[in-house]
Amino acid sequence: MRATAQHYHFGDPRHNMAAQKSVLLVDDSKFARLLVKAFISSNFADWEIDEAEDATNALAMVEDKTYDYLLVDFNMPGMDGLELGEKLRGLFPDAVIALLTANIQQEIQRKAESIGIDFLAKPPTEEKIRDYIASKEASR
Amino acid sequence: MIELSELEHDTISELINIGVGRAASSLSEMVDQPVELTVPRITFVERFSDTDLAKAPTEIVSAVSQTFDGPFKGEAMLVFPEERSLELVRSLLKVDVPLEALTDLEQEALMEVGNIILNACLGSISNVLGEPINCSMPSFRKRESRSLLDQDGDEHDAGKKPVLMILHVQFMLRQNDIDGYVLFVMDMNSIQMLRELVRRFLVKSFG
Repeated sequence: MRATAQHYHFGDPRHNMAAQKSVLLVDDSKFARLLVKAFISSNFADWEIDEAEDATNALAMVEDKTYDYLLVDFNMPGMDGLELGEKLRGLFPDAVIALLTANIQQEIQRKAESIGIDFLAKPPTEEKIRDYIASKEASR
Repeated sequence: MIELSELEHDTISELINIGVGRAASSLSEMVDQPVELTVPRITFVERFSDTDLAKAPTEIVSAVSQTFDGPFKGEAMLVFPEERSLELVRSLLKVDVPLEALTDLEQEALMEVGNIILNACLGSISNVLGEPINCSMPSFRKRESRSLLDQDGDEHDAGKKPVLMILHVQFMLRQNDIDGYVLFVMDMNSIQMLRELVRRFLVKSFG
């Protein structure tokens, strides 16, 4: 199975206010990926945004490429987002990794915290995604 | 049939209220407009066709369903009239998309909305009771409302579920004239378990 990957190329230096970063979205919902991608690219032009529809694809993609941001859904066919998040944390100790999920149960939030990844509750909105990334950029 | 005390009935309604309230606020964030909710109604029936939800039995509805499993189990469902579902998708996207692309995305979008809404519901109920609940992946169905709960091709199951508890909350998006409802369907054992957890919760909360 091939991972879905789309690369944005930058050309206009005006958009390089923040250095170009790379993002991997892992979500089995095409609709969810489409929204989050739109929210990121309208606020952080020129960032490279790749997509994977499940953990297997995501793990294949990170073999060839490092990411600054990894946003991972929890409930996916196959490996769930917490298990994937833990593996990704091991591979990328310095990356920003967040579980972006509709599952708001405290247990899931606690587990995310315990493996050192952030928790973002769905629905993704433009403000939520923009503010989260902006705060991470500010603290880097 | 099951007799719930007034307090138990109240507490279950309030739990559902909290869950659906959280779900409504999620939906409202997604569509950028207020979402109105009705007071939850709890009914016990032997067949789905016995509920007054089946008033328009041949109306085609779109439904996103997730089964849940934990101390109690059942099925949670988000249901709305099929004719309004594209309108709902349009208001979710907030950008103009050609009709063909919209139709392509329809099922994906509705599944994700269902996923967010049903998880918000179940998640907040689980958080109040302090009991984890596992949710399955969402599935989508489009059919006549009278056969909403029919299992695909499995007639034998019918006998095993003599009593269903149906929790029903209606939601409305006035600006788009969209309304739908959330259903929780549980069998007898799960109803008893939920009732037990509610009792424990009441004891813990009020002594």
